[in-house]
Amino acid sequence: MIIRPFLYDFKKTITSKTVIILVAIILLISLTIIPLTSIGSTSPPTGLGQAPILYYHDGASPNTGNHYLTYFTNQYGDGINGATVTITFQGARNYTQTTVTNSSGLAFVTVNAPNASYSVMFKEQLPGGELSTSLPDPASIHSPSGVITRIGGGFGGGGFGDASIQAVVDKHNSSKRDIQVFYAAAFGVVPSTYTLYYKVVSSFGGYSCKGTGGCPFNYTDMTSLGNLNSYLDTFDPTIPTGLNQTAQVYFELFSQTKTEVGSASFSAFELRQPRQPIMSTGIASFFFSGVFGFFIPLMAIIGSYSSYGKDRLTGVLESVLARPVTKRGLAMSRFLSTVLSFTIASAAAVGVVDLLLNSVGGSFLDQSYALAIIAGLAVEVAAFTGLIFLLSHLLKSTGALLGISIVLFLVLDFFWSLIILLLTFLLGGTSGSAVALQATFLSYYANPAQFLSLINVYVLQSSSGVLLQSSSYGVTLPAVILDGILWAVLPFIAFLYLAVKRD
Amino acid sequence: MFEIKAATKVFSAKQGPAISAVSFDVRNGEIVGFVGLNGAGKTTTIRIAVGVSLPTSGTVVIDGHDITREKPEASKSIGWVPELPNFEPNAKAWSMMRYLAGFYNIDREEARRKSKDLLASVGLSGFENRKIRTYSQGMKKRFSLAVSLLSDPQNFLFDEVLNGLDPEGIHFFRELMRGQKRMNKAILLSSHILTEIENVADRIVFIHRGRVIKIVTRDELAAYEGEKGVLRIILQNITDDAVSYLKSLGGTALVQGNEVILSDFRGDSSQVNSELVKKGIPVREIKFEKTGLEQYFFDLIGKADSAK
Repeated sequence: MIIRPFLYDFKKTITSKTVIILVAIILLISLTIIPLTSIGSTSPPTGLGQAPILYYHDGASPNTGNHYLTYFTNQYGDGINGATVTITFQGARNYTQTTVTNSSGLAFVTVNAPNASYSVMFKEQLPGGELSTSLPDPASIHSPSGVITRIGGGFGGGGFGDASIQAVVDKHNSSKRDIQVFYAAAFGVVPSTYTLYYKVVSSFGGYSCKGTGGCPFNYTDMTSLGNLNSYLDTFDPTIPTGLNQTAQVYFELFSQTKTEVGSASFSAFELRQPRQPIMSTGIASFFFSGVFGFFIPLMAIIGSYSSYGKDRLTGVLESVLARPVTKRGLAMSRFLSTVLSFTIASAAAVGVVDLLLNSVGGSFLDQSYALAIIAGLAVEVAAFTGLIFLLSHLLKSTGALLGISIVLFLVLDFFWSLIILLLTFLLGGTSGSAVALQATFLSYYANPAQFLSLINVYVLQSSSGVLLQSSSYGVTLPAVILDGILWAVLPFIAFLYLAVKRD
Repeated sequence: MFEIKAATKVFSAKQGPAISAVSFDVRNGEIVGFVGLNGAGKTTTIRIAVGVSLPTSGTVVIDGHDITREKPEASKSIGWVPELPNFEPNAKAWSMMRYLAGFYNIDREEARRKSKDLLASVGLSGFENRKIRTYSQGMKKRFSLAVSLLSDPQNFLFDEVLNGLDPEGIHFFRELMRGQKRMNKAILLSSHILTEIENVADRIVFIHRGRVIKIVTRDELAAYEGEKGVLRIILQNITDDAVSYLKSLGGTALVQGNEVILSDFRGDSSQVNSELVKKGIPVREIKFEKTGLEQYFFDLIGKADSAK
């Protein structure tokens, strides 16, 4: 019997003017992240100066074509479109060629110049800055025609050999690092016959090459991650959990004939490190705990007053209660429809923020972080909805309910930090001290409006941009989950008891 | 039919029960009047009967379903019109009707048709798209009546529905109740307008200070000795001599300002007037009313109070 009244009340709640306006406000609030993302995007893209360069030449013709292939990506390995690459041959006569990166972040530059000795300058320009450096003289590169050689020493990592193998941040989980391989087959062809292998070992070094078939490991002892699909391809290796601190992961790229063309090794910890507040997550965490953390409780309070508190205290609810519906059914339907409406709106707002961060900053939020934030918002909405519904059974008038609600909002949301700071001073602590920080974090447990802050501290292991170990301050996963469950459930249960057992 | 069984409601332990062990039934094809002074417990009883208020003890059975334990089933058979209907003020009548129809398993198309017909039947055609807050009290009652008819319930509970209605409205409700009675529906009507109760009720339940003090049938009421009446005397100035004299005439005397109401008076009102003049007590107005139900009501109350 609960389904039908729930559906009718849900429809009534989500189509009520107040809720529609509040949901629209929540979505509009999410747009206010745009100025923050533009601030964040003024720093130079991380791809600047880190890309390796592949080179091959056409052979000993009078005007040899010198071919360069490079790329620019962000920290997630996504190509940066529109970066300018200029290569200048300076000799008896200068030859300059300029191109821009395509949508995959790749730039192909061909400089046709007579066989001679040149001083080669490489210049890259991105919106955030530019970098110039010198490249080896083509006359000094003694590779056969069409054979790929990696040049550009000092251009970041990439391991050994002609293929570049680097770690990039996983787009959906910032605690993970994926492996990005950059290579081209002879004469700049897409390297689709090349296969990446990997192996996890317990310690670094001490491995001797065993002849052909790869070094330090033979490909037969390694696990295939698949063939390259393009010049720049990303792989997600499975790294076992529970490895010790010295564990290493080796990667080797093989041709179809099982000739190794590149290798690299990373510590397993580097590939599976704790989440770090990367740029977009940093902006988002500030935005979620600061802006959403402020507005969502306010919206939940107004929405709850509108969907239940007012009806309950003015007696309007009785016109519904006289229908074939139980008190429990009506109370639950109003609560769930209010919580669902605002949780869905909040989740949509997180989605909007994520899209904006991606369109401006070039990266989506870490999936698990975004889900944690949505869960945190759901807890805040449920807690404040439950509290307002509960208060509507304890108070006698709409005026009293509004007054208490405003006080609740001001204390829990607006002045909380100030209150904790004053308490810290009164107890002899100082601002920023470990004790003050711990008191602040522990106070978050007692305040549903600060639940997002609690999540930020735990998930990002940081507060106000400062890295910390949350467990040292009492912020642990079981405690956060328990706190969330209690805030989501306790006010609701107390409200439901009064709604069912009392008039 | 519905039956109220030993319903007791205590709002506050300090104040005592608002109603205590109230029991009576309303059978199919019957209109039962529910009479009592303000605060006697009529509305509390009706609110418990329709399930918006919980009894402290006792229960109400609607067509075999307990209102507290089987509320959805019981509520399907109830049509309730409260004294002051209270719907979402910003909702339009039309959309509110269809929203409430959803609780009765009425599909969308049927809800549209029924809402239109019912609003027309209670005289609200042309007002469907107005917000309820713009309705007069009478219109709200008509709207509430239309809502109560949505499920074509077997039982109706009308709580002071005639209050504040114009004569046309009173006539409308009276005819509606008679029509529903002919359709074998069970109807409970609480009202201060005792003449209306007297006109339509088959039985009358009297409640006083939260207790049912008497249940009489129309025949029993008719058999009540009709020579007694209510004598209202408005004096120029109220004096102890005057009150003492009037009380000596017998019956129950109620003094309100300069007015003395003798609710159980037998005798000649002109004789009383003469006596008062002789005693030098100026009389502004004297009136004898032979209203059977009202007199009966005052008798009952007087007896109940004196027994206490």
